[in-house]
Amino acid sequence: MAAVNMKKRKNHNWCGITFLAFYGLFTIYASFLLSSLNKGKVIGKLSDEAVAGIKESFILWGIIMIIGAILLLIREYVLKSGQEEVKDTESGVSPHY
Amino acid sequence: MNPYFLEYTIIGIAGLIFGAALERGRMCFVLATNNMFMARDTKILEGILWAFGISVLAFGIIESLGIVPVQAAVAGVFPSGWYDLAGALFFGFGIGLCGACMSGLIFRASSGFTQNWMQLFGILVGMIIFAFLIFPLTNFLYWILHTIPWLTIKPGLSDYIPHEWFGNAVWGPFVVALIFGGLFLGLGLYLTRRRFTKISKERGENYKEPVITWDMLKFKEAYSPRLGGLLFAVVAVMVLLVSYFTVHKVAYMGVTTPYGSFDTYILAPFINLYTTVGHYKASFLPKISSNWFQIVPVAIPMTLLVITTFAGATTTAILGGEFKWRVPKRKIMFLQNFIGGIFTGVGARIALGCNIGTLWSGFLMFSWAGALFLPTLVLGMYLALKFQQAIW
Repeated sequence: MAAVNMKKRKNHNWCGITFLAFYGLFTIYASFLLSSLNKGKVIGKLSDEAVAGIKESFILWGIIMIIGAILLLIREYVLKSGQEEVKDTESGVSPHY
Repeated sequence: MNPYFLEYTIIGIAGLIFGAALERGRMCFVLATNNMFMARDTKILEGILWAFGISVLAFGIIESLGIVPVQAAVAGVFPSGWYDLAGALFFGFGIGLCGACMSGLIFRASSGFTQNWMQLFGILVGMIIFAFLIFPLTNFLYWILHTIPWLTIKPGLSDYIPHEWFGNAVWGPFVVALIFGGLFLGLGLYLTRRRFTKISKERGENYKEPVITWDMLKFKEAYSPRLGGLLFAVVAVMVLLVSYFTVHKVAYMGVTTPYGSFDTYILAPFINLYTTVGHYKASFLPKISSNWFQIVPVAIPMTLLVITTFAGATTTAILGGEFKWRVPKRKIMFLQNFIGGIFTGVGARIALGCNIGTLWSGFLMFSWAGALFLPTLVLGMYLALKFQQAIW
């Protein structure tokens, strides 16, 4: 169905991959930021155990996202499989565009 | 193993699934409403109804079987009242102006829609306005806690419908889930069948849509409403069970509180209003000791869920070949989305949540929040549509 509506267009996947890498970097940054913000809390302050666990999880997810971005980069520019699939579909596109 | 690490790591996986379900299922309340009224297409609305129906039923079964005890589920219920009605009106108007609700914003921004990034920026500004101006000036917390009794339902058991209707009966949550979930599922089933019949007539052959195909699993094709709905339910159940079995504190779905908590707490030291809030409000109002963002923890599981949802939606958009940097033809749309975003942010904070945190989770909590949020949300979206028709 979606395939019927597809048409070729310029590839912007590099931009999405940059987004993904940025999310990863932001998640790692957020892990440190959250623990520092927690210090000034009045109510709802997290315990040291909670802060340590949350920080580690954020760092892990940040690394996963960066690895994901690298894998997509390989798919895009080494395997070149992403470039053939770029399409527009009617569904989900705002009438403003 | 640190239980918080386990909770956040698994909820991160839930976020990836949520992002895929949003992006591949096009799960957006505004898009669903617009498609239904403008194009007579109910496909996205069906997905939302399936999502609500399946998840509400699942929560009823989980609570009735005691997998998550009622006491633990009730501890996570937040109050509902007049602010759900008022906030949903602002929120509905805002998302109507932007053309995307909170879930729609995530998958559209993740797919490269620039105007939705502007909407997100507007939401952050709206939350700052709420935290540093509206909240202290109106003494908002006071009006939530001390208002006309029938306009505010207190949190906990008094706002837990199964307890209200059936007392402590263990089957209470399941019966309430059957009523609300059955209603959503029945409506979803009716709309799906009606769409199949319509397409069958147009094509002159018996039309049937598969729930899942290989192309859907490989992200090459948009998800069917039933698959999108099922994945929504899976994510909500994952979040509930993981939070309960790791840190023994249930978490319900929500996406706006992390934005607000993050940006207001970062800005608080610079603006420095939250500590001197007494100077900024009228003297006849009672003094309050803390701002809204100081009441919730600075990091909740949903903080990570939001980030991984963005990551999941971006990844599926790329894998599906649909990522595109989209700039609106009319640049004024950036301004419209920014203003709409402010309405969205303020409305979401007044209602203590958005269409995910208050509407969907309201039904999942079996509280009145969802039912109160829905009518004025629709009214707000309708007003935004009329407003746009008048100005454009």
